[in-house]
Amino acid sequence: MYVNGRQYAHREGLTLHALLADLRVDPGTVVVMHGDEIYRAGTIPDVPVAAPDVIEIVTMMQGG
Amino acid sequence: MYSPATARADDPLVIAGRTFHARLMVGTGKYKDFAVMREAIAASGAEIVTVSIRRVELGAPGHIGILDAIDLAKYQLLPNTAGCRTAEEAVRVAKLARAMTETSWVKLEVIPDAKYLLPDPVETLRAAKILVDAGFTVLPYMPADPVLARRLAEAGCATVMPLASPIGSGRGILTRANLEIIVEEATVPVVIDAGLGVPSEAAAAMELGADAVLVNTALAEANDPVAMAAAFRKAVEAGREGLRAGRMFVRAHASPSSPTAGVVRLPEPEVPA
Repeated sequence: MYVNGRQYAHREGLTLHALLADLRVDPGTVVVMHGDEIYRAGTIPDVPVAAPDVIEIVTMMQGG
Repeated sequence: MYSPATARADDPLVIAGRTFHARLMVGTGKYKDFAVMREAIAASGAEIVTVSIRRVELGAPGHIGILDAIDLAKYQLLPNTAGCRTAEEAVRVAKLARAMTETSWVKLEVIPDAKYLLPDPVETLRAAKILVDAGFTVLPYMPADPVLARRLAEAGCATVMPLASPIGSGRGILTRANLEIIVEEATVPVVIDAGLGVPSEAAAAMELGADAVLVNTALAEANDPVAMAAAFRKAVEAGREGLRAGRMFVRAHASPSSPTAGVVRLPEPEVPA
């Protein structure tokens, strides 16, 4: 699987919540794109993640 | 009786049905810390503030976004698609931005070239059409091209945002002739974005008829960003008020300001016959 453009080792039973916990990301401050689905901060479901999945985890930063 | 506050109230900026009184928009990038950024934004008087959407740094606890750094309720956030090189990338980031910021406003940037950061007109127009159809309020950053400005407005964009000179360059208004045409033909607000370095350039942009200007680097990289933000605010107001007041006629020759009659002069020396 790919997370934020990098390969990530998938493991059996992995879910979005477990992935965020592994990555030490606060689910209340990020938006997650899982395939074509986009989940707002605080509404990210604890759904299974499969080996071929592509996931983006983003937040709001400074910019012009 | 004239006052700047009354002048602003009488002359609102309306974008996509929303009314604003500040005509200076500011970015949040490049500040040395959030405290200075907050103070500068406050001093600018801006009501529209740009932000970006970025991947979080994985495995880095305490990754700091801007969420807690600004009062989200106080400003109309304008997330950008900076860094996107194609329409597809920009549409994807716009959707992520909408989820992140809970606004459908987006500053569309499609920039394939990292050296000059010049926007791609073809991909910008393509992305704008997709985003407008998807319900976004699109404010596209664009080359100062009057034909493209017309096409973007026809596509349903809420504004056009032509560049004055390359992003972050501080080179001022290098596209004046085209900006004048864009302003003359505009059917949506014209926001001059990018390249302004000093307040006088913002005033000049407003005097040539821009509805607003957007600056970031000029504030963030000033020695005193807060003071510079205040200076830009005054310059934008001055430029707008000057435009509304109506400039004088430009003459080829001088025209004295004092009466030409009754001038006290020394007697003319008598000329011997």
